[in-house]
Amino acid sequence: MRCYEVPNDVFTHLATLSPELIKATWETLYMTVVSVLFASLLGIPLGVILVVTDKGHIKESLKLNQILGSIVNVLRSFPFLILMLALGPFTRLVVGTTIGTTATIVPLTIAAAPFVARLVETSLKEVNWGVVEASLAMGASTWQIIRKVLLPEAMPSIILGTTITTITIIGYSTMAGVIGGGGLGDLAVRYGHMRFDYVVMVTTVIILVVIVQVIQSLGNLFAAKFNKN
Amino acid sequence: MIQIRDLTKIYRGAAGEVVALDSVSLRVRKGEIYGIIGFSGAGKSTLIRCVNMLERPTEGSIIVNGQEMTTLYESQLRTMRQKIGMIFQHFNLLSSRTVFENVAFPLEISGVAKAEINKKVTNLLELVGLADKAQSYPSQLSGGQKQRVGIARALANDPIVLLCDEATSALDPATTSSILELLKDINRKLDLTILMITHEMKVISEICDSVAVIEGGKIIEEGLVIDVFTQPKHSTTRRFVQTIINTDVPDKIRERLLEKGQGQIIRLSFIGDNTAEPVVSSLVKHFDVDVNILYGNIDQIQDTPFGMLIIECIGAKANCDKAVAYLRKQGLRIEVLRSAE
Repeated sequence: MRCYEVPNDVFTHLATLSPELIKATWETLYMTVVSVLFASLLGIPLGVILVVTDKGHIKESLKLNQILGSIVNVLRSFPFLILMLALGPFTRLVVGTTIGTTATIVPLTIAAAPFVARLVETSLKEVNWGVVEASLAMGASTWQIIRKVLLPEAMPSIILGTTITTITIIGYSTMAGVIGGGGLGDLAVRYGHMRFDYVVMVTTVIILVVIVQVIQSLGNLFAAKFNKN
Repeated sequence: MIQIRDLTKIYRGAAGEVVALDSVSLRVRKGEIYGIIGFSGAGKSTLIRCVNMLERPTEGSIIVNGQEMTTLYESQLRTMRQKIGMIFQHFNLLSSRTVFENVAFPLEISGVAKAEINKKVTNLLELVGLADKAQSYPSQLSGGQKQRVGIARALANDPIVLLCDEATSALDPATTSSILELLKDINRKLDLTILMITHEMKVISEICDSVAVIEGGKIIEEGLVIDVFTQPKHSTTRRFVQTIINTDVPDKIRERLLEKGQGQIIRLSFIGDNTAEPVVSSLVKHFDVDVNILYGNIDQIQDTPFGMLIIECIGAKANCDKAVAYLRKQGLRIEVLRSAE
């Protein structure tokens, strides 16, 4: 176990490791951003379907609703670590490999999509039913109501939900080290935990805290911008 | 313009069947303002929602502008709904859109071109007196202003019928009056048929031409507002009428009246022009009776004055009877509360 008594040592050490830190930060951001993007592409439509097919809603279809609801529940029950390993063959099918940062994006997306779906579902259910009824009375189609009423009205809430998703994915992504996915979590485990390098561990945690803070602030800012109440 | 025949709506739930509407029939003529009044739970909300199929009737027929609504396919129904405007108690504006965009919304739905939308929305906001609020969001408006936006939005697609669902129930009395005035104004200017539901008799008395009273899912009384107001038949109707005008003599006063004197006590009700005739002085002049005015009130519904007078007719019984016969001939409604001795 190394000791750092002079602050200078700490800086020198960090300077040596800075390429690794920067690389890991980028890997984390890459995994997170791409996963959130794909998870939203899957999760938002899924959330919309869960809402509009619900009882009494504009496209009631209880069978479809129950089937999709069950799938979402099953996926959400998996511990991420297990999901990541279990999805190995699927990941290979999609991106050609089961290791590395890109390979991590597949399980991250699959884990986050049902999460996004539930958050979107909750957001859309908060939209005042009266507004939907008014749109129906104007002769709006299902698609028009989704695109022009439900999604815009729920936008501030969806943005905050996406913020939560992003932060959760950052958390999940730290487990990517297991499949050689890289990123800050991997770095913290390899240097901080296995080599007792507390400087690296503390630094990665600080970087994660900063990233989370920035994302939350941006989310709040955008949500406020869209909120006209 | 709207013809409802034997409309029945039954909700089937876990707790059994609830009959919300029970064989309701009514007819709204083109250009009139038709009010449906009832206490909460009477079925009026269900009734108005059946007109544009927001609620599917269990049985019966609804014809709007010659078109049977209950048999329309989904796409036909959407087209038809674009021609039926609707405003709501809680306005139901899109909070993410400006006033301008809210009014533009139904036009977007029906696929109107951008330039045309701009022109129409500008005119509509002018009509409802909100031209200066075009870029505001609903949250920045007062209740009355929100309802004006609702009205502009409902008029965007040049509807043939306007449905008002408790449109003024969330507003204060002064704002209610201004919104009612606007509706009346629109009704006259555009010759727009309006069907409204409310629990406030004031709304009916201020702007409606016809009224139906609904209770327990049934229409219990229906007719021209002036008739229903002056001669309510059903006790519920009477209760509604009494919320704004007192047609009954309070019991205490009635008792006191009947104790005093010994002449014939007559109650006269009059509507419209009769109020200008000097009937009371005619009695005195022509029938050799004395007339003592005991109680009276006069009111006005829209432009028609109406009222009630209780008089005591003192004189020979024969003369009093002749006086009553004379009054009947004048087209007054006469009720003898106590005969002469």
